Amino acid sequence: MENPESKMQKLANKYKNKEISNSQMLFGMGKIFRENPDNQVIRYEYFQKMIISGYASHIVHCYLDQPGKSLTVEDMEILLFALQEGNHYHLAEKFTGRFNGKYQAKLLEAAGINDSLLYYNNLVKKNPDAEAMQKRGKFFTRLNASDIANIDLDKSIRLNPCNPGALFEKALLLINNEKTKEVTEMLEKCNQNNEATQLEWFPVIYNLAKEVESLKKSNLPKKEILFNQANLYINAGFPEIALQKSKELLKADGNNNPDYLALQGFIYFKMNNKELAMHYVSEAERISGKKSKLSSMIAKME
Amino acid sequence: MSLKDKRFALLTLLLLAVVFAGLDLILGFMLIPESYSSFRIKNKIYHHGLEKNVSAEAAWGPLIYNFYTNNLSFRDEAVRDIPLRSEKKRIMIMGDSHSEGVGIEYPYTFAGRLQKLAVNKDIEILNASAVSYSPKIHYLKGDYLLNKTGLEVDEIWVTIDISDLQNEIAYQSFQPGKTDAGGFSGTSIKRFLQKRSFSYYTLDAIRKNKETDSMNETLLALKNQTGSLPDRNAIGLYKEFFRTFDNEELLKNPDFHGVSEWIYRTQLRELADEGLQLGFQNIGKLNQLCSEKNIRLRLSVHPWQSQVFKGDTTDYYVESWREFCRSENIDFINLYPAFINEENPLWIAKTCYIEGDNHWNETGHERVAGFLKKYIE
Repeated sequence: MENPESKMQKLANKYKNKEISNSQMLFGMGKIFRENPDNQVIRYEYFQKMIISGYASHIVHCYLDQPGKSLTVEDMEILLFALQEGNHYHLAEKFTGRFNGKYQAKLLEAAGINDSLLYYNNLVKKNPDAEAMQKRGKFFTRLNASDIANIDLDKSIRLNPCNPGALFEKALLLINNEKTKEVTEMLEKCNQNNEATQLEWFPVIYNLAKEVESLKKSNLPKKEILFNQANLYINAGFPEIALQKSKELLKADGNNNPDYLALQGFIYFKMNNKELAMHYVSEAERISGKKSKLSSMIAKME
Repeated sequence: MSLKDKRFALLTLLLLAVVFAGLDLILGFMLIPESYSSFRIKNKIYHHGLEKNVSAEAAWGPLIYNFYTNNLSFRDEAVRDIPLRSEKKRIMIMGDSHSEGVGIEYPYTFAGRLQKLAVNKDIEILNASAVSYSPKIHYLKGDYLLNKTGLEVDEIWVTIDISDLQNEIAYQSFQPGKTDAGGFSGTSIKRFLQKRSFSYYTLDAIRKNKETDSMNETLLALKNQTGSLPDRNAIGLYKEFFRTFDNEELLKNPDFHGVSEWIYRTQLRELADEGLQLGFQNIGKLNQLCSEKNIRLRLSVHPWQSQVFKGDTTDYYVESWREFCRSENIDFINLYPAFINEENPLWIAKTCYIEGDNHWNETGHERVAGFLKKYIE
């Protein structure tokens, strides 16, 4: 008789091979979980897949259903993941006393996020102006809820076009999603607005967006576009996107080009990751046979 | 053929029938998958309802949850006996899938939460809701419960949403006692065969799959407009409610199935108004019944996700029901502000509704309970 873990694996494989939908996979896993509620391996896998698929509330309430049951480290991690992924920060306080160690601190952090949300909602309720919408939009951006942040920032900009706070937050969101065309269009509308254009970030982000757009439209070879984009992003202060471009470049090139390896090393240097920075720069030096100033700068890092 | 031969033939046939029946039941036991909706049964008086004293598992999309009903065939926290009369004040909720609490364990539904709160106030909450109920069924069921079974209640809370427009049109031709309510589990024999006979189950499944596929195709066209499609088990349930509806042209029209947009689109407003008028008639009858029995009637309207995004707490639908309630002296509760307020609408959608669905998750139900608790007095 097939064991439940194999059945779970079979379902996961069927989904991976597109034989069943995500919903069908979750349904099948749910049945196995309910038949084996004390099987931790099954519980963890099922719960994680449900959370990723958008059913975090259901999972949090599975834990609430058993208030006396002690939580393993994995349970605490899954619960924190569910609270965060599903934005159910208001439920954090219901688990006080059931978490311990560092997880207790993270639970308190989640509860703190709910307090902040209540604060910003109150701000908007009292005075739903551009500033309040922008502040809440920024809060959502910091929570990595960019699609939710977008709504508030758009409203802020509608209420007060070219208000620098909202423009900046929105521009950051767009840049991080590589929507550079939207950035240029948005900022060009405010080219005549001194309040916005005199801010330090305005020309930096505007020029970055324009140059990245121009590269996209150019006839340059793909690797050259990626290399130039990575340089633009890292010099403008967007290391995550720069790293993404750099990794794409190295993958396309087979990790042999010393210039590309050095660029990756430079990006990690800017991200303060000494180990990886040294790894890539050393590799670049080995292939090119030349020493670079960057390696001595990396060596001096703490 | 001699008598002996005839007897032999008859005995052989009988033996074959017994062997077939035996094999059929054994295969049924081994191969018929569990049904997550066999407790949903047709009803000659009020179209459909729930089987009584059920302890089962239900499914909504990928969500599997416990499902219990009491002796009155109401969803409840456990299988239990509810007396027809009570010393305590009684509030009976009558709503559709939102109020039934699809996908959610009963204690976390708004009705379940209110039930718990009400205990401290010496009040009972009963939940007579079921998937795809609408004003016509609320009236027919209310009439049956109050006049035929002798159930006594002090208040009835009817919960309305945009789906009632479509349901009212679909149930228009249903006549109590005269119309077959369609594909639900029917008589006890049928239900037994569905659960135990492999051959009956297989033939029934083929028929149902064909019909679900056909409905699925129509809804796919709607998906292109709205970007979402219900799960197959939800589609299967959805199509059952149209068994007494014979307007093929409307059934095959994707717009007909996008009821949340009816009030917003000029070309569908007429359909919306038709649904509204039917709803008013039936709630009017329910109100009359309540007046006769000295029962207080309250009516609430709640939003779907799409309406949360529209951000209008006093849209055409809300105002139509508000005006109707005012004219009929019915207490009106607008639940839209529970979800449409200073909060970010996408935040509300993601935290309060089941993923890709118009039904509330546990947090959404908690919100509704929080909004309604002041009416428990």
